[in-house]
Amino acid sequence: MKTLEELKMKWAEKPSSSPNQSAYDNMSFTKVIKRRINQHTKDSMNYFWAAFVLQMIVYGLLSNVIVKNYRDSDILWLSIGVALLYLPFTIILMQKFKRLAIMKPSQQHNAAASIYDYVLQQQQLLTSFFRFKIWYEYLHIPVSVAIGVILIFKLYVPGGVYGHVTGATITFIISLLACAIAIKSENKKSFERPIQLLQNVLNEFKQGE
Amino acid sequence: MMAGPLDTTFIQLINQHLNIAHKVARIYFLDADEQQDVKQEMMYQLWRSYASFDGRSKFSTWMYRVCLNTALTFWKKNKKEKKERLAPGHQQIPDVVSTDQDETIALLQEAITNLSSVNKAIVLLYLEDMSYDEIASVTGLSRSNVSVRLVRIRKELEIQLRSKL
Repeated sequence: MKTLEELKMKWAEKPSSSPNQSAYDNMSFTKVIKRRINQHTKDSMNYFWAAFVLQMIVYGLLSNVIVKNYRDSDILWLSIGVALLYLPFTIILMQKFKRLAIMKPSQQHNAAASIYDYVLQQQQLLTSFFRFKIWYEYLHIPVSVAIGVILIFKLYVPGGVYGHVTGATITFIISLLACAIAIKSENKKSFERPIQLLQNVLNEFKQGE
Repeated sequence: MMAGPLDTTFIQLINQHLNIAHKVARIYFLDADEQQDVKQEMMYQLWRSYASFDGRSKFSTWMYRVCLNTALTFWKKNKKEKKERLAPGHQQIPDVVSTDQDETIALLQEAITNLSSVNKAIVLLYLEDMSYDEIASVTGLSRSNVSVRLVRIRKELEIQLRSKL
């Protein structure tokens, strides 16, 4: 049985070349960098476009409802209420997302930063964005779904919400559940799991103290 | 945000130390596609952060830091839970008869993949002949903590290798 010291010597003797690994030239390295930039841009833009399209649908529908029913003050104020609810949150969400997605290289990799500091920074950044997103979703989704149900019943169901309390409640619950399932799934994949992985590394640092 | 023409010195340095990216990828990722993916991400992160390399530390130390940081914070959104584990024999198609030395190193690499994330980094830096102070600087641990952890890692690796050698 060899000791780690002996294995270290063997490790040092072993040629450093690795299988299927050729040296980069200017062109091949540029190709790799371009591919990664495209990948990062695609990942960021997927999120941006999903949020952007949702905003466009909401504002488009609201504009249509306002134009068609501008004489009905209830509908008018409910529509304006939804628009006002979406606008500030959307701006803050996008600002925070921009900060997360378009960090300066110097912020991403401080050469003096250790693994611990880097992992901690990444974990804090992701957690901060996720906390805001959760807060945004808890407040924003139930209110906007409720207003949406009130508007739909007022526009298309004679008697409105007050005439069909049970139906409106069921519609509200089903809509809310659908949103919750979709959001939970996305959060788990994009935030909870990565944050947990980073936290596991940080915990490992603490265990040995 | 593509930068201007690539610095020739940078490409030369990367090529001289390319094995660092390969070693880090191999001990953190079992799947061959993921290894390839993370190596490309390492190249991208090295290119992005090259401006911050001030030459106060060795290029290899700086490259280890960036590669380890990338590996530890790299995850795939649609990562499948079950992957076929890469055995040493899967790593390459041998064109020459492998020696005892190759086999020992392959077994050592396999044993390292079973360590925790931070311990993988520590042992890799130790095998690269970095001092305890350098390992402490790269990882963010104290020198004494590195020393204590290496004693434990030695025992853990020896137990694993004893059953295989």
